[in-house]
Amino acid sequence: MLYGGAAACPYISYYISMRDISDEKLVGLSLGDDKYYGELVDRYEGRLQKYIVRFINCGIEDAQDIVQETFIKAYRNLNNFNPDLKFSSWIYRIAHNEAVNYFRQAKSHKAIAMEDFKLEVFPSGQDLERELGEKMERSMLLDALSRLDTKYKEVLVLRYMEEKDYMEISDILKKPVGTVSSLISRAKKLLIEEVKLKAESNVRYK
Amino acid sequence: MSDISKKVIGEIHEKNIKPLSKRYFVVRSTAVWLSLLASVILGGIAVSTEDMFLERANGLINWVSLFLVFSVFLFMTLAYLNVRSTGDGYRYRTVWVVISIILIFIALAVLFRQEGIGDRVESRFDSHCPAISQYCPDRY
Repeated sequence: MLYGGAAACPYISYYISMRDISDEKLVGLSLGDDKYYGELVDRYEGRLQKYIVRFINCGIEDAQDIVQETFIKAYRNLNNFNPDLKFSSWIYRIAHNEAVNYFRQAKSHKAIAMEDFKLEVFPSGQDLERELGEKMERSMLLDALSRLDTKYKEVLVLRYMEEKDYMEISDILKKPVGTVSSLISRAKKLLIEEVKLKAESNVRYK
Repeated sequence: MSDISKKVIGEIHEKNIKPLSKRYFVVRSTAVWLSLLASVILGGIAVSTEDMFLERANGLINWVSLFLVFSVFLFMTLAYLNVRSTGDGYRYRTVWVVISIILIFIALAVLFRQEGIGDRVESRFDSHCPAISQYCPDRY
């Protein structure tokens, strides 16, 4: 019945067939027809937007501009996509680099409240709290995270907010897996220190 | 289609953006690998021209060839950067990349020395670059 229905409604059959195509296959198809590229953009624009906001603390409009630039750059470099790599790692890598460039060039950084994404900010927040061995408020964690150095912030955001594994983070940041592991370990220690410092200063001012 | 995907596809059509050709990336990758090969070979030659790296000088190194150290360091840096520019170069830790480059330099230096390439390069330097060769060790 599904196939009969699909035959009767071309839009549904188009939608079903697009959803069935893997990212990596869509890359190849995009070289022939950019409608397939539109599908790739739809799949990743939301995720990349959130990642950029979490990473560099910019506004939504700026994040959208960066996402747009990311996909334009990715389109130009489609023939450089290595099928041994996951498409998500590749597009995150381009988005990361664009975000870093924006951050360096931006004259003012409008920090937004991380609570704008409060429902989804820390999908692995409980994992992070468990790993840190500390019970702490989510808002304190986010505040401490925003004060970390970029190289520590990026690995924590990718690991605990974007839920990337070490190999994916290595592919995104173009760093060895061992280095990623060391950075995450060091970042967690720094995060605890930042949270404790903030907690102490809050107690002092009360 | 979302707003962003419409904007992206719209900009692609408006500016007539096309994906860079596969050939462009192949040429670029080939250039990186050739550059890596050149820097490794030149580094091996630079090491092979210096006797003290390969022979004992009464158990002590009396002096350092400034130009040699500079050229070895330069080629090592170039080799390192070229490794990092390759597709998978980022996967390897810096310490292992540097150690591998040094070992390859030494292996090539031994090979070039056996073939007499080091001596030929050094004698060309003596005749064409006297200002630099004054810093090179005297040959026995």
